[in-house]
Amino acid sequence: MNRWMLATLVLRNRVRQEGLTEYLLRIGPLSILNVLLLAAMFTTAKGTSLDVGLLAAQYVYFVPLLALSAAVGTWEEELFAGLGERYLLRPSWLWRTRFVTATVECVVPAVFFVVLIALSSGADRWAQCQSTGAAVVQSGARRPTGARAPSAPSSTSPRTGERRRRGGDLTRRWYPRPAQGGPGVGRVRPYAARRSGPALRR
Amino acid sequence: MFKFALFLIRVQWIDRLATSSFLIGITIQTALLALALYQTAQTPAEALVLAARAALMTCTAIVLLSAMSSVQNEFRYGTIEKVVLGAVPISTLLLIRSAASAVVSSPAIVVPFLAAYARFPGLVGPRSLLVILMAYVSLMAVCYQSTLVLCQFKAPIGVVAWLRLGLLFIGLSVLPFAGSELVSLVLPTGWILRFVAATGPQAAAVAFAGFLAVTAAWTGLLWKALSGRMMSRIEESLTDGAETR
Repeated sequence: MNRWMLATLVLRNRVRQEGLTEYLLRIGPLSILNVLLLAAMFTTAKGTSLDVGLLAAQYVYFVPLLALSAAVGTWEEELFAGLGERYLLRPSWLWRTRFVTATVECVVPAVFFVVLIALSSGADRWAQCQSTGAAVVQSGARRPTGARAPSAPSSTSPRTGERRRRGGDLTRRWYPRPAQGGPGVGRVRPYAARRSGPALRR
Repeated sequence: MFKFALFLIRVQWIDRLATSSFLIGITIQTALLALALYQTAQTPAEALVLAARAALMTCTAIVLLSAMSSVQNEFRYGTIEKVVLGAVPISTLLLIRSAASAVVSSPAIVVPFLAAYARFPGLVGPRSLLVILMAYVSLMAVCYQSTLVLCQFKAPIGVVAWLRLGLLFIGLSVLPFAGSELVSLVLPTGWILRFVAATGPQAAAVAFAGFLAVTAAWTGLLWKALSGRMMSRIEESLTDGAETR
C-alpha cells in the first residue's frame, strides 16, 4: 500500500460523503466568510473601518482557531469512520492523514492570509512611496519603470503622513462612537466615502 | 414538567459535549472573544455592545446545531413515535428543548459579559442583566424557529452554516450597506443591539418592545407556515421507513 494512499482515501471518502459542491463551499467561501465575520464582529462595533491591513493584523488570532478546528474535526470524522485500529497498527499513517486533510481544510484561508499580507505590504510600500515621493521627484531621481508618479501629499489633508491602505472597507459603523475614540478611530476614511464623496458618510 | 425540562437540559449538554471539535472550537472562540473584549473595550457602552455581539455570535452556532438535531435525533434513536403520540404536544416539546439549548449555551453567553464586568465594574446593573435575558430569549426563539426551518431539509447540516451567517450578518449588521441597521431590525438581534445602544429610557423601552414584538412575530409566522409541513415530513419519513432523516 502506498504511503499516502490512506490519506488520499480518507480525503476522497470525505468529499464523497459530503458531496463535492458542499465540500468546496465549506472549505472555500464559508471559511472566508467566517474569518470576515470574526474580524468584523469587533472592528465595526468599535467604529473602526475594517481594511486589508487591519484584517491581516487580526488574522494571527484566527490561525489557531482555524487550524485546531480543522485538525480536531477531521480527526473526529476518522475516528467515527473506524480508522483508529488502523492507526494503532501503523502510527506513521496518522500524521500523513492529518497533514493532508487539515491542509486541504485550511488551504483557502491560508491563501487568503498570504494575499492579505501581500496587499498590506504593497500598501505600506505605496504609503512610503507617497511620503517620500515629493522629495524624490524634486531631486530628479528616476522612478522604476511602470511606477506611477506619486502625488504630492496635501498639507491640508488630515491623512497626511498616515499609513494608507489599499482595499475596500468591508464594514461601516452605525453604533455610537465612543467618546474618547478607540485606537484607529477616524484614521482611515471609509472606502465608499473616498469614492463617492461625503454623501454616503454617516 | 420541571424535572422533564432539567432532563432535556442534561440531554442537550451531553449532546454538545459529544462533539469534541465543537466543544474545543466554542471554548477557544469564547475565550478569544472575552480576551479581545477585555483588551480593546474603551468605554462601558462599547464593552456592552461587544459582549452582546460576542455572546450572540457564539451561541447562534450552538442553538442552530441543537435545532438541526432536534427532529433528526428522534429518527436516529427510534423515538419519533413516542414524541408524536406522547402526552406532551410536539410544539411544547420543541419549546422546552429550545429553552434547554439556550440554557446549555450559558457559558458562552455569560463569559463575554463577565469580561465586560471585569473591565468596567460599573456595568453591573439591571440594564446589562436585561441584555443577558434578551440574549437568552432571542436564542431560545432562534432555536425554536430554526428547528421548524431545518427539519424541512433532507441534509440540514448543509444549511446550518449559511443560516448562521445570514442571521449574524443581517441581524448584527456586520456587513455594512446603506440602511443595514434598518434591515437588522427585521431580526430580534438587531433590536437587542439597538437596546444596548439606546441612550435614554424611552428609546430603551421602544427597543425592548420592538424586540418582543419581532420575536413573537417570527415565531408565530414560522409556526403557522411550517408546523403542518413539519408533521407531514415526519409522517412521510415514518411511512417510508427512513431512519436518518
